[in-house]
Amino acid sequence: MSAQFSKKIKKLTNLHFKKCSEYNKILNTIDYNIKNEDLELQPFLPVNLFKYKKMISVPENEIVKVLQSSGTTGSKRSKIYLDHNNAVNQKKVLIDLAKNIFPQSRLPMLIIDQNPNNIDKKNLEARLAGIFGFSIFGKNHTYLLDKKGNINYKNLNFFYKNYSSNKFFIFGFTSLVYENLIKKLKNNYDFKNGILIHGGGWKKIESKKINNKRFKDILRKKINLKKIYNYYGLVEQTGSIFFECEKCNSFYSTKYSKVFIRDAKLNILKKGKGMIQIISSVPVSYPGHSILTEDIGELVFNNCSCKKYGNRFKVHGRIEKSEIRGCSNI
Amino acid sequence: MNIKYLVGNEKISNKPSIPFGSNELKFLNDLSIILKSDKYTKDKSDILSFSFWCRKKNLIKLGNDIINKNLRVGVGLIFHITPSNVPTNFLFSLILGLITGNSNIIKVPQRKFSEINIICNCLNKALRKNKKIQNRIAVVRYDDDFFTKKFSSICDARMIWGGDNTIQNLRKIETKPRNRDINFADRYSFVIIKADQILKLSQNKLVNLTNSFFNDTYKFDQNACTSPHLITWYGNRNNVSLAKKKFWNSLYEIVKKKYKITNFIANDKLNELYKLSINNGKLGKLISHENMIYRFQFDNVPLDNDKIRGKWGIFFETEIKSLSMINNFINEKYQTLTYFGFSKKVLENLVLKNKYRGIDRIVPIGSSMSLSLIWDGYDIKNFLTRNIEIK
Repeated sequence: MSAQFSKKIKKLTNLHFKKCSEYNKILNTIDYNIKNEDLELQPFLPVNLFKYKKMISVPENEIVKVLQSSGTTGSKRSKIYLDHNNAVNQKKVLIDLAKNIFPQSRLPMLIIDQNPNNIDKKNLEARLAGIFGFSIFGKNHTYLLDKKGNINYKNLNFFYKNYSSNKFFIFGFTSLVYENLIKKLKNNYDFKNGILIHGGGWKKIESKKINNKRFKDILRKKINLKKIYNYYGLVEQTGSIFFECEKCNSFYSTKYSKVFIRDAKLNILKKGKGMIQIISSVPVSYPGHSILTEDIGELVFNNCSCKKYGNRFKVHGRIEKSEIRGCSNI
Repeated sequence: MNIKYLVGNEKISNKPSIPFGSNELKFLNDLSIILKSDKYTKDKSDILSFSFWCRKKNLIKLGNDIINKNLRVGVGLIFHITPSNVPTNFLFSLILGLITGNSNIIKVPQRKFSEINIICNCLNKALRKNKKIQNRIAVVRYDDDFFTKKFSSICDARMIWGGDNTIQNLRKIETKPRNRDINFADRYSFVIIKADQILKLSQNKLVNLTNSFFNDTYKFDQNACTSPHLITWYGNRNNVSLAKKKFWNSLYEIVKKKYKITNFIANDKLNELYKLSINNGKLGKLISHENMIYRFQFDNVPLDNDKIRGKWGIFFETEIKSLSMINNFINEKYQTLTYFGFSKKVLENLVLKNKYRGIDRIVPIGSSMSLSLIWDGYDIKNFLTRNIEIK
C-alpha cells in the first residue's frame, strides 16, 4: 500500500509540475528532480503560499468551487480551487473514511452552528465546507444556533424529543461546540446516543486550559455524550482528513494520506516535535498534495489497533511566531 | 480616545535651545550611564550601542563642526513618528532631536516591546536628575489619528520613520506653514565586494569579515533598511568564483553557530523563497546552504530589483567587471552601499563621476547600522536647526 501511495504522490507532483505554472517555477527554482520516487523527497509547499497566490492545475473554466480558509479579519485567506473531479473525490474519500465511525444509514444530524441560508455554494468558507461535507451522513438537519448565535431551544427540543432515543449525529467546529454545548447549554439533556464529530482547531480554547481530554470529560459528565471524535484537517486538503482514534486519541492517516514531521532545517524527524507536513492523494486541480503546515506535531508509535490505518500523530498547537525586527514596514 | 504618556506630559515647551548645549549633553551623558548600568539592558546589544553612542564625549566629537561656529538654534518642537517594528528606533530619533536643540514628542509603536519600557524607565530616571530637560521630552502611545493631527498642528518639524504609505498618509495631515518633514522612506541597500581582496584574506580576517556581514544582515533578519540584499562581486570570473566560495562557506559556519532558525522562520523562509520564484521567472540559479543561506544568481540585475528583497537569509548575487556596471541598476531607492576591498577614494570618485539618484551612505561591511548624524542622506544637524544670519 505504501509503495502505491508513493507512486500516486509522485504522479501528482508530475501532474502539477506540468499543469500549474507557479508550481513549475518553484520546482525549477529548487532544481527539483522530477524523477524522485521517494515519498520523503517529494516537494512540499508552505501552507501560507495558498494565501498569496492563485494556483491551479486545470483550465480556469473548469473550476466549479472555491474553498476558503476561515481567516481572522485582516489576515489573508487561503483559496483552494476545485474542479468537478476534485470536488467529487473529496466527498468520496470523506465517505470512505467516515465508515469507521458511522453506520451505513444516515443519522439525524444536529449542527452546532447557524443555518447558512442563502450562501453562495461556489465560494465556501472552511466552516461551511465542513458542515456541507459532513451533511451527507445526516438527515433531519437541525441547526442549534439562531441568527444571533444563541441556542435555539425550540429547535433543540424538537430534535431532542424526536430523535435522541436512537443514534444521532452532532457536528460542529471545536470552538463552537465548546462555547455552546459546554458553556451555554442548560444541563437537562441526555446525549447518550449521540456521536460528536468536531474539528477546526483548539487555538481559541487552549487559553482557557481546555485540552482534548478535559473537553471529553466535561461533555460526558454534563450531557452523557461518550462518542466524541476530533479530526485534524486543513481546507487545503479537504476530504482526506485525519480522525482521532477512539482508544489512543492519536490522529491516524489512511490510504489517502500520510504525515511527516519536519524540524527547523526541514529534515524529517522520527522522534520529537516538529512541523506537520501532510500529504494527500486527493488534490488534483491545485498543487496541494504535499503541504508544510504551521502546526506542531509528533509521531506516535504505540501498539494500538489504529496503526492498521497508517502512521499516527499528535498535534501540539501552532508554531510560535518570532518577533520581526528591522525598520522596513513591509 | 486614549493616550498614554510613557515619559513626560502635555506640558511640552516649544522654545528652541542651542545645539549641543551643555544641559542636553549632560542629560544624554547621564542617560548613557543609566542605560549601561540598568539590569534589564545586559542582553540588549542594540540598547547598549545607544548608551555608547550618546556619551558626552562622543556627541561633542560629532557636533564639532557646528559647535560655536555660527549663530544657530533648534527649530523648536519636533514630532517623531517612529516605525511599528523597530523597538529602539525611537531613542535614536529622540537623541537626534534633543541634541540639535529641540523639544520632542515621540510616538512609539502600539506593540509593547520590552525594549520600549526599559528605555522609558531609564529616560525617566535621567530626567529626574535633569530638571531643565523635563519639559523637552514626551514619549506617547496611542492609536487614534486625532493625536497625530493634534501634534502635527503644533510642531515645527516631523521626523517620519516608516514605509511609503505612512509618509503619504501623514502628508495629508495639516501642519504649520513652516513645518519641515524628514521622511525616512522604504529603502534598498547593497554591498560591493572586491574578489581579489577576499582571496588575500587570512582565515582569521575572513571570519571577522563574514561575522561583520552577519551583523549587517542576519542580526535583524534582513529587515533593516541598511541591510544589503544584493551582493555585487567585483573582479574577473575566476577570482569571483573562488572568492564567493570562500566567503559563503565562512558565513555558513557563522550562521550555523549564531543564527537560530526557528520553526516559524523555516516555514516563512520557504514561503518567501517560493514567492520569489513565482513572482520572478528569471531570478537565476539558486544556491542553498541547507536552509541557512539561499543565494539567487542574477544573470542580469533586473531594473526593479529594489523590490526584490530577501528575508531570513535570502540573497541575490551579481558579478561586475568594472564599477561603472552598477550604473545600470542604481536608482533613488538605494540607500546604503556597504563595501569591502576598496579604498574610500575609489568609491568617492565613483559617486562624483556618476552622480547617482540613490546611495546615501557608503560604509564598510559591518558598519551598516552604525549611528550617525547624517542619515538617509539628510544632514540632521542642519535640518533640525535654524541658521541665523547676522551681519
